[in-house]
Amino acid sequence: MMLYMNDAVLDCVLLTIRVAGVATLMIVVIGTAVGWALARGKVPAQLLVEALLLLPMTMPPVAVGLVLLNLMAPGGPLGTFWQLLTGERLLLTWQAAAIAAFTVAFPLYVRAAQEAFTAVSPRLEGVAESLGLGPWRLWFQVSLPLAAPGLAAGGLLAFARALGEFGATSLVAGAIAGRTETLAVAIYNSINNGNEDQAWMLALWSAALAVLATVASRYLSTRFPSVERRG
Amino acid sequence: MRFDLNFAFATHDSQLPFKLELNHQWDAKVTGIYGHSGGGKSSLVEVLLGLKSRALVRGHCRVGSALLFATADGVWLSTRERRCAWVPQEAALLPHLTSLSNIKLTAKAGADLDAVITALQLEGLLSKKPRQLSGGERQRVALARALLAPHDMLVLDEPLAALDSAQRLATLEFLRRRVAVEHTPMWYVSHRWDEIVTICDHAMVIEEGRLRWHGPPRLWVEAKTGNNGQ
Repeated sequence: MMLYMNDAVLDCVLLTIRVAGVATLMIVVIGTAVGWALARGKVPAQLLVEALLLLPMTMPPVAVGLVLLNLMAPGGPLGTFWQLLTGERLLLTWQAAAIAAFTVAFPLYVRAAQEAFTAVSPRLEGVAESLGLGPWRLWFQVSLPLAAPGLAAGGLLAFARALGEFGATSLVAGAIAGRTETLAVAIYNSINNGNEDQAWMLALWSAALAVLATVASRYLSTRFPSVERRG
Repeated sequence: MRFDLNFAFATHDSQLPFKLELNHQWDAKVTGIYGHSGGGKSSLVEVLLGLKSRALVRGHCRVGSALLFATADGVWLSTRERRCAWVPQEAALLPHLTSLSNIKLTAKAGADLDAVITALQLEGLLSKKPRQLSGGERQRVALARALLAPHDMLVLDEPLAALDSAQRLATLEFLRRRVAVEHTPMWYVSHRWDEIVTICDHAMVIEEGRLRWHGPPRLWVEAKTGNNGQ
């Protein structure tokens, strides 16, 4: 099977990268802070918060989609906020697909980030503090680089999950070709329409993207070399 | 420098309960802390540095005019606020930084960087990462990092344990000279009495979580023989 590319497939691949990329970016920024706070026990009612954070991962994605559908609908809190911000509706846009991917993939990253920060030796942080390193520099020069390989692995997991997101996405973003039809949704539609060749080709493109993401993640984690747990 | 320590530290670990109690006041420039592994030396250091959980410590600790903690009055300075630059046993260099970046982590502007690097023979190690260094080299880098960091006190925990005897003597001599001209007090933890005698003007022997003996180090041998009735 050849990995050929036509305009429709190119649109679909680029849209998927955009949706999963934006979702992963939001996940990494917010999830790193949340994972760190959880690892350092700085969150009140931590067990309950952890259970709630994991909910989108443990619920069926289509059930998550149902919740998001209500939040994003005109009159729903997210829908109203988006309307005020942009003057447009949120449902059936690529941004809605990105929010769905964000919601479903977020717990995976937070778990990884929490574990990565938990594994950072408290003694390394203690030494740096005793030497007078301020809280921000401590975070950026000690905690973050030491947790980086775990964060990169978590980012890859989240990106892969966002790439394949289907259940919630199809509910809130639909399948408008070129606008909201991501690879996962397009594969489903191709099979439904009896176009199995197209489905196979889209599946291969999904695999190619996943391989690319894995290589990028491995490369990024080697940018922080020699992360030994003991000094 | 006047030290006033009166505290109890206890873990509630049912598998491995540990208690350290100390009520001791003394004046010293360099305080030696001696004892066997597991006796409480490192716990004492970690209580001083504020690395033990606040909930496990009761009592107070004053260094000069600075009150580091007084649990009855709700005083508990953070590790950063205590300004005690620490060299732990395992050196704890940041593995992603070169030796030079480790040394300059918080070095004071205009600090005598070159002098310390030369004295500790670190010139050839500056561009290396910790994983490329031997145990002794790591300890010398960690020592330089602490000496150059802003601090009101130095806390060295077995700082020469991984050095060979020639380097040990040279480094000890460098520390002795530096202490003589600087006015910052130092705690020097070691399981080697010869190091304590060389550099310290007051020693504490910690065993099984208690202060077993204290005084000028040269008197310890006499105290021991006295105890043995010889």
